[in-house]
Amino acid sequence: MKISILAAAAAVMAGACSAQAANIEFWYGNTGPVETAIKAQCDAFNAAQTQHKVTCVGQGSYEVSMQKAIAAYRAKNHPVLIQFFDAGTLDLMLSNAVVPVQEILPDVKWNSYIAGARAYYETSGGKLFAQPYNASTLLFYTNRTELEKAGVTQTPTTWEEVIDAARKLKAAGHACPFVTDGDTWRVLEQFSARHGLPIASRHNGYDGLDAEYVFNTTFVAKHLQNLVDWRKEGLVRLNADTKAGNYTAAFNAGECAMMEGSSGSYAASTKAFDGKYQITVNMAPMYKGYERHNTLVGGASIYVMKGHDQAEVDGAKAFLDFLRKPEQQMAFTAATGYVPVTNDVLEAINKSGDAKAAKYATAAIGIESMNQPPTADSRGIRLGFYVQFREIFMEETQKAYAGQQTMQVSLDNAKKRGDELLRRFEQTYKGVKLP
Amino acid sequence: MTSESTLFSNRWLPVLLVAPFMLLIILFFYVPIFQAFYWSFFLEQPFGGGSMFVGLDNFARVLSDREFWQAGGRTLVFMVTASSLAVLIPLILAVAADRKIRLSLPARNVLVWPKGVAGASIGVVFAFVFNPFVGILAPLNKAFPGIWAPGIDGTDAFITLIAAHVWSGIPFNFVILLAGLQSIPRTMQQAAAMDGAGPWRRIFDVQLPLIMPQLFLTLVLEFTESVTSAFALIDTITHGGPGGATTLLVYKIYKDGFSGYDLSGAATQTAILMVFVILLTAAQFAFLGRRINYER
Amino acid sequence: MIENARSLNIAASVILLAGMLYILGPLYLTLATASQSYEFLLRNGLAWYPGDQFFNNAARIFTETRIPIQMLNSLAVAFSLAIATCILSFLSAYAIVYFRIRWAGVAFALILATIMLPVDIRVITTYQVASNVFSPVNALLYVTGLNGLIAKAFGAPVQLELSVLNTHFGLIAPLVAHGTGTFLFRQFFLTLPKDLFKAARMDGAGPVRFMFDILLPLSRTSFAALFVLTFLSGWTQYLWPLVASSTPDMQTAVVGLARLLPDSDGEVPDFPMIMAGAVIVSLVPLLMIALLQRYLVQGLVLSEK
Repeated sequence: MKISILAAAAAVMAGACSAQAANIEFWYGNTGPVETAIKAQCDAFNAAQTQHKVTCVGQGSYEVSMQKAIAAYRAKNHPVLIQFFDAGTLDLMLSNAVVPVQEILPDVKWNSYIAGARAYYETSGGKLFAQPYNASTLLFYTNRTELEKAGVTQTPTTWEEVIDAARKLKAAGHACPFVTDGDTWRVLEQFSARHGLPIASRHNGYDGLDAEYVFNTTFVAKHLQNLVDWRKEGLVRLNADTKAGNYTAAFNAGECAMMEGSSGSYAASTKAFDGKYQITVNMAPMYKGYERHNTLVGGASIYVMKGHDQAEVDGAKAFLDFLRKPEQQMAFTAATGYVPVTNDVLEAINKSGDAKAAKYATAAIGIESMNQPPTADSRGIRLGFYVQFREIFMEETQKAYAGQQTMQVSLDNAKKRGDELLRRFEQTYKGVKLP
Repeated sequence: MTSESTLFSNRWLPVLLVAPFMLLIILFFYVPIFQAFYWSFFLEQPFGGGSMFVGLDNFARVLSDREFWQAGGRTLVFMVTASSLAVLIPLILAVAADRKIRLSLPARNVLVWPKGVAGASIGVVFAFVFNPFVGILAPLNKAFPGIWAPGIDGTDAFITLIAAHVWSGIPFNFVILLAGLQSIPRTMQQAAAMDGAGPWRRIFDVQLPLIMPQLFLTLVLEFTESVTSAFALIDTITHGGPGGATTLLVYKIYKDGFSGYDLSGAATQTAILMVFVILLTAAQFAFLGRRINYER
Repeated sequence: MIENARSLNIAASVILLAGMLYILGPLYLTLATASQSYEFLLRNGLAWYPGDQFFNNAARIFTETRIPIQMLNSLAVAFSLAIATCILSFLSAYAIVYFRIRWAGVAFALILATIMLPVDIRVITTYQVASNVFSPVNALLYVTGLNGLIAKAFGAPVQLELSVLNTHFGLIAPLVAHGTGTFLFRQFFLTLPKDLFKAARMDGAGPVRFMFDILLPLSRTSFAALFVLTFLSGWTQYLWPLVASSTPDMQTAVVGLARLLPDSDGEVPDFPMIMAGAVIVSLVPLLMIALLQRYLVQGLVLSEK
């Protein structure tokens, strides 16, 4: 028995409450309107039943939330539910600090989850580790009004058509036909996934910790070189080239005519376009000759942490079930622009009669994009120190855009640095089996 | 400094006086630092599942990492340029404000205001001020396109950072230096004037030497501040870019540890950085501290 | 100053004007942006000239965010931080300067070292200590084997737990562990003439009397300056309050302000509202500076008057 001041106090308090009711804590990282939506869901859960009470605590960002969870876990006062984003999946899976949701909720119809959302958060054996929560994916937005002014009547669907349209826009005097921020998620991960290209060996790390980066040898290297060339030609602009300083802000202001963006951008874009421009949203463009595969799910999912008693786990399960309900997902989608994660929600939206409303516009397209036929390399990313790798990729490619080195050199450098990280990660977890 | 006969000889009273502060410092400074040093000798799993002792491997790896030295180099450059500007400019302002002119009083008030403004807004505003399209250098860019591009050119981003750092550093140093100038007895100035020293001569021969204690204080604090506190500005303005040009060591440590969950790597770099800062401060005390004459 | 130095005074005026412009410029831009609407921002980017939306945006801060409550937290944190720092720095500097002790140099070095690493860098491990302040004790007992002995004697090892997270104490403790105040007071004490001390001794004053009757009154302005500077520092702290507080009600205003920036992809932050928040959050410290700036300069004069 441990002499513990806190434990004694807790025992006294616990005795005074009923055995079933549980107070659980849920740590999330979003801010702004998403935070408002999350808090609304927490309040709805508390109002809908009296057995459990959830306290949702916003930590300000995914990273801070994770750091606090790490420190809290080491000090043994961590929450039972934590939201964490895609890049941190491997850290959590190997941490031995979480229980796979499929284990504690074996009876849920996990197959109703969209393939693209499932694959990211499940083990190579198919067991779902975390419950996908706020999901986004990459979509292609155009400013139809501006395109038509330049004589482009059909929304481009392939990269060749996109560049063609860009050239027409440039000829008509448009300063910014296509804008991107060169972000790793958008230009590397999503591109590779839907074109069926691997980013690293061992199927992006799903099959083992001894993976190595290979993106500098696949077609994505050519695409990135294209971006550099197109930027020189004035067809593609980066964040820093725009007046607004940010690619979505530039698109929303009408400064740029086309962009690849997250499904979450839709709400702000339509609001900014209101009455001035017409927006189109489609699946991200493909190169001719490549078969379209699924895009990856972005956003975050919810993990259940170990080290809590059964009452709290029951409360956690109840909350997870609540969040999965179609009405809840619909409300969340409408409020945030995130894509629903289960297939039954689409039917619910259609039945509600509101299907054509702007707030659900990205739902159908997003789901369709993530439901495209998968390959073994388009399931997701299972690589160590991946957040750092994303930074390295951005850093190296920025140098290429600035003209300091060629894109191929940048990619080779990024691969070298990324591999060092992978090897050190492997050493840190020596002997730990990949679930 | 103070000789033997000017000290109290109680044994226990000083211990009592220092004890609470020491306890706090040990608990909330030295224990965490020790823990961080400890981690630098292990390969630490973030969630504490297991850690592998690797001796000096982490240090070997970090010290042979090109990125580490580049970040260190940038930090050194920033330290020298930003610190000297952050002391020089307030010095000039303080000498100016010490004179009895109409602008002195309002200036003394206004020049302290940045101290009250919170970090998040400083970064955003400075990013805007130096924006190549809509900021104050926009006309320059229209005339010579591409000459000022902090989003692409690392040097321009660096300059933005220095400008923001100096802005937020002016209040503290200005106040200290002005206080020093104000404490110079009038008699000294008058004596120098009677000896025939003109106002400019008096600045260099009387005022500057006499505020050596304050200059020393500001330099010491500024050097260490610039190494460690540029973080907030980097995080809000440049995020370490473009192409890593503004990734100073303290930012790299934060990114590795916080965003990358690389606890061992971050701890190792922190340990190295701390040793460097200690050596730097010790050097300053050794070389400059001795020359300071406190009594007037 | 003494004779009519026209050219020098003109130069000084120009310099001061330039300095004030450099300082006021960004502040003006903050205000200008805070007075425009969100739509304006989406169309034109940040604003160079003011609009008319300031009170709208400010009102939204009060109705849509928790910043008002958080400002009270900031007030509590900044105030207690300033007081604690003043008292502890004064006492420790006094002990180091005015007593014949061999460990004065070591103590000063230990205290000074705290300036070198601000909380921002040691956040992770400081958080761990804060979540169990007895962990070093536990570790010590474990390492020295004492815990093994205790376990044999009493049947269980000692494992104390006391978390100061999400408490006001936890919010300020790591911030108090900072040596600038001690450095300041020490420099100040060193500039006091030795005769002062000798005279007091000849009058028969002991250390406590000396401190209360002589040193304290002389240090009044240093106190004021340190108080103001520490208060401002406490008010603008970001990373530690963010990490150390787990509930929105314990957060400080600066943290609350930063949380208004949405982190999700593709959202342009509502800068007008955020800037209005920044203005409101900065009002308290700016007011403090405006009222107490006289003490600020006087208090940092490192010599007696």
